[in-house]
Amino acid sequence: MKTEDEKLREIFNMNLEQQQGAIPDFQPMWEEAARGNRNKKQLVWKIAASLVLLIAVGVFALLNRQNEVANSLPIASWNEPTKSLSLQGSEVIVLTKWTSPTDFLLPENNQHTK
Amino acid sequence: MQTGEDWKNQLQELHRESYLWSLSCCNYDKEMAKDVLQNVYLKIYDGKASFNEKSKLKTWMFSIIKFTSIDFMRKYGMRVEELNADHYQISDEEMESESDKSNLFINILLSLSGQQRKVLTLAFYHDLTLEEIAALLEISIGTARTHYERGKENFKKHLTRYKLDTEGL
Repeated sequence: MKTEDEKLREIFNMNLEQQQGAIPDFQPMWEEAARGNRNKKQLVWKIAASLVLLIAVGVFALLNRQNEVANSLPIASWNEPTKSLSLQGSEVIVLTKWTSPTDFLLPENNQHTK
Repeated sequence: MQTGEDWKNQLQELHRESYLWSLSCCNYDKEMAKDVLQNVYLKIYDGKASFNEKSKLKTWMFSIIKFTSIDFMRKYGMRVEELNADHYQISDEEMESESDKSNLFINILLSLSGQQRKVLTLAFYHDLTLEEIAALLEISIGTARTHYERGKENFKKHLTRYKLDTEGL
């Protein structure tokens, strides 16, 4: 004589066995999981490679900019382009020492007129 | 030490039961049950879910399926409480037009509360003990026993009402 639980077990088994046709195959599902895992790993590598590339480009651009700054002319050493006109060699023309060529004609400078 | 092939073989042996448990967790939505199981295999393959051998492989696998199905339910906008509610009522018209006994059986299961359905399926189909069921569903053994007894009563009532192979019950 079967117990109530045994009978219920039979009913469950009998009816759930009928779901057999609906059960998807294991192999394709497992392969899909493997494929999904590979794709995920590839995606991680792609992201990592992109980040490394971005960092490399950033560092390169930063270094390049620093070199440009170092090579540029400092303001302190700037000379005006017409500086050479106001200098003769290293001698500065002092205007106060200049005398007119006809200066001797002036009475205070002309001793002969006295 | 298990090789990848041993591991795969054990999962393959459990595949049928895993799918049926997934079905039960997804309110017998076949597409969702398949997606849940696919996701579980991916988690295992990724190493996100690893078996620590503290429990049986079957209860470990069922536990991952349960949590993954809850995630799916949330993702698809279903409230988790719906899983435990009496949400399916079989109409007489539906019963008359229902010729497939298997579908009738599923409909009877769906008319039970989510917890009763799970406890009965785990006990009568997956042969788990009440202790294992309580651990898997994260409820006390007393609560599991209550769901078991009430579920059995409700199930028998439906079986008698719809005359589904009830001989001897």
